[in-house]
Amino acid sequence: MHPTEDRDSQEVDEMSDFGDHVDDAIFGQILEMDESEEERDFSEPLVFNFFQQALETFERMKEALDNSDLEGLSSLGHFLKGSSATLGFNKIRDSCQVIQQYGHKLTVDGTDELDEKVCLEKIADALKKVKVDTETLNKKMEIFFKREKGDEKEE
Amino acid sequence: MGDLRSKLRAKISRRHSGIPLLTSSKSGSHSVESSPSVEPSSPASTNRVDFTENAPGRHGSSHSPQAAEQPDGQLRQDTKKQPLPVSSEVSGASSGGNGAVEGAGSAAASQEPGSPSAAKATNNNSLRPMPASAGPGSNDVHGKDRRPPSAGEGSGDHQSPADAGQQLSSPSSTTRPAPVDAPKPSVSTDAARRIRLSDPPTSSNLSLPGSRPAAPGPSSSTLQESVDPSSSTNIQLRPSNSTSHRPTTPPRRQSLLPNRQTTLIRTLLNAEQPDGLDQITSEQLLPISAMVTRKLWVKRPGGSATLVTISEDDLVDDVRELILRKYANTLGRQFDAPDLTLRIVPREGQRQERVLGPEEPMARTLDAYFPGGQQVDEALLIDVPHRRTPRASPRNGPPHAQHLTSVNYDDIRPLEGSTDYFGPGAVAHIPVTLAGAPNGTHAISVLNTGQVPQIPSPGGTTRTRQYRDRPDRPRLGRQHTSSPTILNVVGAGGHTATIAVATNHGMQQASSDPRSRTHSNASSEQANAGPPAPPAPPLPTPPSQESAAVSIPQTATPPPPRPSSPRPTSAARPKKKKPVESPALPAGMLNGGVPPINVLIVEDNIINLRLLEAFVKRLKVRWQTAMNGREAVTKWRSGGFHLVLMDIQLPVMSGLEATREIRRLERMNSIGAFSVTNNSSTTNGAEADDSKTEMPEEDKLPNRELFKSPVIIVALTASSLLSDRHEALAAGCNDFLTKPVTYVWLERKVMEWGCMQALIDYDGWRKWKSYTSKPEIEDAPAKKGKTKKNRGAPNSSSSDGQ
Repeated sequence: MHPTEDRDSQEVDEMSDFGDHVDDAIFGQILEMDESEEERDFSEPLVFNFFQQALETFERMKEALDNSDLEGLSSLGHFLKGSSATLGFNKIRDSCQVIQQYGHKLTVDGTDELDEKVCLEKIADALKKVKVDTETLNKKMEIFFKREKGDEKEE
Repeated sequence: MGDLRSKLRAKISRRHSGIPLLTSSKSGSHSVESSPSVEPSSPASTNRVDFTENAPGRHGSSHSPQAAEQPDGQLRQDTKKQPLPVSSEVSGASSGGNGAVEGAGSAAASQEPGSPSAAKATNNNSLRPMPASAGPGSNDVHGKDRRPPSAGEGSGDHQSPADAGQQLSSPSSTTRPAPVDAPKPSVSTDAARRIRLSDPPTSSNLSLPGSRPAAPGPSSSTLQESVDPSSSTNIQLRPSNSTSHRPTTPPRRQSLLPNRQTTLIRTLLNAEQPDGLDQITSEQLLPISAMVTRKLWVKRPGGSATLVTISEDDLVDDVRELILRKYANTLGRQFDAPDLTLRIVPREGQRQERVLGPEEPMARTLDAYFPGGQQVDEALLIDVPHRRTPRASPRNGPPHAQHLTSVNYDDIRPLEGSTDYFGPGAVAHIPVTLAGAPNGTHAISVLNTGQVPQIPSPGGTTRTRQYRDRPDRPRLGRQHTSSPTILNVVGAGGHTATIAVATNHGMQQASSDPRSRTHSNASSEQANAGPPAPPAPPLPTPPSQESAAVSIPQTATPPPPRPSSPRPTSAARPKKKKPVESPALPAGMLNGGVPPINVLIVEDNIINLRLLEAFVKRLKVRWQTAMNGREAVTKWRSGGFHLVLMDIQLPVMSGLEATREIRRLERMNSIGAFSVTNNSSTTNGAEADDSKTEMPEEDKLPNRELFKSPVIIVALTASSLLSDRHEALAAGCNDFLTKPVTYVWLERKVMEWGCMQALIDYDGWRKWKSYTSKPEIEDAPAKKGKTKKNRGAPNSSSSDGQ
């Protein structure tokens, strides 16, 4: 096991890979919750549960989008926003915010957007974007946790 | 309030009675004793007799607003008991007042009520007349106010050579009203008011305050005439006329006349003795105008109107001073007289409302604007500057010269008055008063944090009461709450400071003491990464300093270096905190921080739920989870929870609905620190109607003993919108956390609220504490069982969620 200092600096390095996808402080806090850094038996399942949740949510969003169910889209956006924010996944969170807002027929700034079509379009765009972002982040996370474990093996 | 005041006053007067200052003492006692019979509002002041013949200026009539109030209450009682007869009695009493005037001179203060008989005797003469005279009397009352004018009016003659004589005559008229006033109590202030208004013609005359002193002279005759119809009045007055003996007559303390009118009375009496009024010029009298009082309605915008007693020739500036006295606990603390502006709103909008200049004669202006008298709804509006003086402004300067006559008893009031009424004199006499001002809340929060809490927390009121009502604790009045959100910290200070103090008080030797303090500091300054908290060794949780960094997610701070691996010492980890209600198990004493509370986590998002679970696990508190509002209520009903972390947006039943439901059930079951008192108010509350689906029996909580106090509900809000928070608070939440919830903040909340709950359930906490101080021997076995239980239940519930 690495001395704490090393571990920490390493974490920083690794996490910087996430770029603006992830809020380091918040995600770092998740990592801290691991009882064992070798196992990452808290954060890793949590993160990948999230991706699973995200994929399911995207499916339901697509359904709702097809049905022009703005209300449903809004609540789905809110739902995923909550968990992505919890993990510090900022990009996903922001897109979810967009979806939630337009689901309420509001722009991101909170002004009214009464045209449902516009709302649906915006949501579709946001959904597309969030899917890409999620995919990207998923890969980064896999690498991250693999490397964590890889470190273990090296050791 | 009134009660308190009257008690206070009684105390004071008692105290004073022993004091050599006879005049003051006497008047003090009078105010108390005679008060019952005094008419509520205006009359109170008017009626009190002043014995300060020697030093009229000094003790002048001091009808402080309270003085008027006190009698008010008592009076009402009287009237209730004996609706009609009262009037006669009262009048008797009032006449007694006259008697008092006679006895005034004699100093000895034997306030013993025993004198009643004597009083009665004395009064008898006057008594009989009284009822009869009531009618005219009331007129006289007006006369009193407007006396001067009416006098002038009656016979505009200024021929009367001796001004003094003139004055005398008018005073005499004033005296009369006083006794007559008495009956009024049975009526109502309004009535009195109306009556007063009923002689409009005079009012116009009144508006010439300047001329007043001169004018009255002839009035005496006029007055007398008017009075004559009720010959009784005359009788009454005459007998007492033996002014010269008055000082020597047996002391009769009760009086209904205000101090300031003693002179008036005397002059009146003197004047009447010989029919030639003009002859009496020897008496030195204050200008009548200074002695004649009238009432003035004032109010703060949006507030209810109140009466202020002013002298006839008071300027607006003087009135401001009086208003501050009246609003001693609010405006008086914050503003000086020059800060106030008075607005007058004319009737029927003929004229525009206007701000009164300080130099305008008040009475005159009033008469000009409100011929016939000012009505309640025509109260002058008091405006204050928006700028708030941070500190109470002690008005310890000597009252305005003109108000020598209206110095309050408060001027000689002892310290105890400071908690209730912040009399101007109190400051002068006992400067310390300031420190003891119930401003406490403010002072504390400002001191500790430099912030004044701003967000009103409706949910917090219950707790406020608990705080306030526990005499063993400082009065903290936590009326504000705040969220420790990352970006938006309005008012975190006040709240956390409160907690810190509470903690210090309640848990003197609790190891958490220093820690909680640092916490509060940190939370108030969170935005700038808080002051480094001294590492709390016993805590396995991340040291505050690092956590402060973590709590600012916006900055790209790398994860804080952790001195130790996330796994805390094995000693600390396995220990589970013991919940308050089952103190049989020792809490982890290695972890001096978080009190042993039981937390209910309500979250619909499994990711968030998992993380919160991990957090509370690390905090070593017991917890359970719920995935929607309905489930949350169900679990809560099983009892034993101290803290609920409630997500606001939940399926099935929203967090707000769940909160409301919990609060409703708490009310129904009278859960609170003072259940007994709550009972009465809640049982007849309309809440019962709310639950159409559930019968009250169903609302009954099964394990009532597990509900020691209302649960603390901390809302988890996704946005930092103020509106969301207000909504949450309105629903009954005590506090809120903004998502994403960070460990640091969660820990703080658990700490703060947990400490509070521990304080509320102090016995439970002490048991817990005593356990923790026992050797580990007991600890070991208990711990195991406990740990199992803890691990078991929550895990199962969380797996449900999955």
